[in-house]
Amino acid sequence: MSPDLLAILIDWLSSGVTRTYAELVEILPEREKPRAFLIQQELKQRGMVQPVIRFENGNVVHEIVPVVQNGGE
Amino acid sequence: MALAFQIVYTYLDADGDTATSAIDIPTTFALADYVEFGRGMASLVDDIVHGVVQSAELTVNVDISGLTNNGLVADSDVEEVGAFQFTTADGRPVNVNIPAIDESLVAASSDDLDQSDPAVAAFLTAMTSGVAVTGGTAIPSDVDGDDLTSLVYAREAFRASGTRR
Repeated sequence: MSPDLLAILIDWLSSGVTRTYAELVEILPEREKPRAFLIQQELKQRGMVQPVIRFENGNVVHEIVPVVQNGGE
Repeated sequence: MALAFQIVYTYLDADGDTATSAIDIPTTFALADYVEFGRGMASLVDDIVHGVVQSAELTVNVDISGLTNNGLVADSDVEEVGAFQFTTADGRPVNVNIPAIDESLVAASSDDLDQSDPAVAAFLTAMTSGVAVTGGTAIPSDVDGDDLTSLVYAREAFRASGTRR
């Protein structure tokens, strides 16, 4: 992941609000959209998010939960 | 209609070919009882075949009648598969092939499945991060029970029709 894209995603996650996968795809540059899952995977491996799949009234809900980092300012 | 569980036996012949047979049993027993039944029945069938009883598996059938988008599309083809490879944290690869993949999910000028599609992404995420169930989060694993953690590839491929497990 490029430093520029990482900076965008850190800013996007900084509010601590749970996001949807669709929102992740929406903020990615066009050329990165086809590899959106690998970007989510890298965010997870960096310990920045926890992806969640759950079912609500028979519908799939795909959320990206920011991981709160301890020791921050 | 009540669902039954199955014990599936795989047989190996002298040519190296394999075949399976299944025996249905009611769902009212404890897991240990199915193991006991499966082992006993393996002994019984072993006595009436010339091939090798290679394996016995318990198949738990699940009621999927509630699926809402489970219709047959005219261009569906089980030889067109979604070919997925995942790995565990130790790097052990696990391959999964999903027959009759929706070709519209393939990214342009590529064999890769489009990860911006919500259905593709939800499947990949379920395979590597799990699915929330009543008792916690159920994450698919390798044969040793180690969680799958990463995607290696997700692409369209072609396979001869037949059983895939």
